[in-house]
Amino acid sequence: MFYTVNQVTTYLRESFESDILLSDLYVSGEISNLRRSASGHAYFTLKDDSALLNCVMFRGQQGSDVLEDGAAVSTHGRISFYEPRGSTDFIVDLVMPEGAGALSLEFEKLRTQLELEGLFDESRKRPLPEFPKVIGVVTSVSGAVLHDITTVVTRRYPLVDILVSPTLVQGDAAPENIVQAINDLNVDGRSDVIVVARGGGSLEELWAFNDEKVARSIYGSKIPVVSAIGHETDFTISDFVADLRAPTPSAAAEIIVPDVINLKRHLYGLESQMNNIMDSNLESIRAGIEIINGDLIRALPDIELFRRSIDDLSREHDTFFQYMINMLNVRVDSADKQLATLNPTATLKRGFTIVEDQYGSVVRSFNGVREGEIYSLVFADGLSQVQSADKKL
Amino acid sequence: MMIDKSFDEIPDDITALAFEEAFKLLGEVVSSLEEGGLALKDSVELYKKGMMLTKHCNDLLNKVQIDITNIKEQFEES
Repeated sequence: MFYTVNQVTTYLRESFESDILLSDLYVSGEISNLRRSASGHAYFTLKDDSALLNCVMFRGQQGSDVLEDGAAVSTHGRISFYEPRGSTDFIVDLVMPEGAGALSLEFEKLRTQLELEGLFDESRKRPLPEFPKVIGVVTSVSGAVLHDITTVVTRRYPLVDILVSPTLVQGDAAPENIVQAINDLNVDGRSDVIVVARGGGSLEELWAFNDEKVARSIYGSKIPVVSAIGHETDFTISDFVADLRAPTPSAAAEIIVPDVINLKRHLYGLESQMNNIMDSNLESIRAGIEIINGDLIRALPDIELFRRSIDDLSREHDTFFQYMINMLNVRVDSADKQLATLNPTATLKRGFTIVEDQYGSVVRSFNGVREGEIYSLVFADGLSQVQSADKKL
Repeated sequence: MMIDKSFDEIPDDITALAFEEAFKLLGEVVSSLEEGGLALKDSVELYKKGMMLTKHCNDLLNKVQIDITNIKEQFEES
């Protein structure tokens, strides 16, 4: 019984692809015979002192810029059997300069994978609450991290409660622990934001935060997550997945809560703004009243004018009155003069006399005179008794 | 219309408000006043509320202490 070539090569390919070890392989070696195709794939061999491996790196894989003839590299990939050529190939999906170590490779691999899945997409980063009321902290209760965070929060913004969800932060059990702690906070639901924090340490010590389960748990958290792992220079997968990466735990606290000093300044600003607005509003109301009041005053009848016309009238009246009086005086004077001319005394003064009989009646005619009668001669300055002697014509 | 809304939003008991609510309302009070168009009586009323909100915010910032709770203990208790 003969197998066909195709049957054999298919069997080989399937064997390679189902082999757990061969399908997830870390290999280090030196690059030689590097060729790049127009389509962007790279072909090369990895070799050491005694053997070589044909390698293919398809376009768009992590680290293809590191490829260079003679370069010592660490790689990750899977073994496959390429049937058309009957060749066994190492399909490389990650290349790093040698010395990076297995952890770095693993890190890059997971990072690439999760990035492709969209776990790091900017579009899914959620904004942090401006004024959190409760901060959930996932960290170790034994380290300085919790103390650092609470110190900063107390100083900046004492209006929050801190919910601590304790966890191991290193060792084999840490990833499960961290996942549980994040989950607890999500179940509890009170936190407005979660800080996943750990102090500085070696790559190995920080490794739990490069765990895929931890990354997915951060990704799945309903509450926004800030990661603060190690020092400023340390980057973990958790940092990439989190809604925000803080360089350190203390920095995370500063980022999460507003600063009470700034808030007070802001409050003071709002207060004075409010006062200014009220002042200027009242001022403009006052100015408005002033204008209306002016209009009102202008609209009033002119009392002065009245007063002046009254004065004028009164003066005219006086003048007229005076004129009347003068006229009357003139008339009285002339009457007086008339009277004076009628006054007999004046006539008497000119030398005339009036003759009165003994009964006081004026004797106006010669016929009234009787002989022997006593008569009074009235002079201007006195009387004289005379007796009529005889009558002659 | 926005002026009426912010009037309604401000509860009589301002001291019951959380800081962030009071702070947000204060901002709205200021914009309402700034916008103008209020009856004098209303604007004085709004101003008064604004001053109360300011005081409340300051009081909160001055008084409150952080409460640190261990969530694990809570989970274990229940």
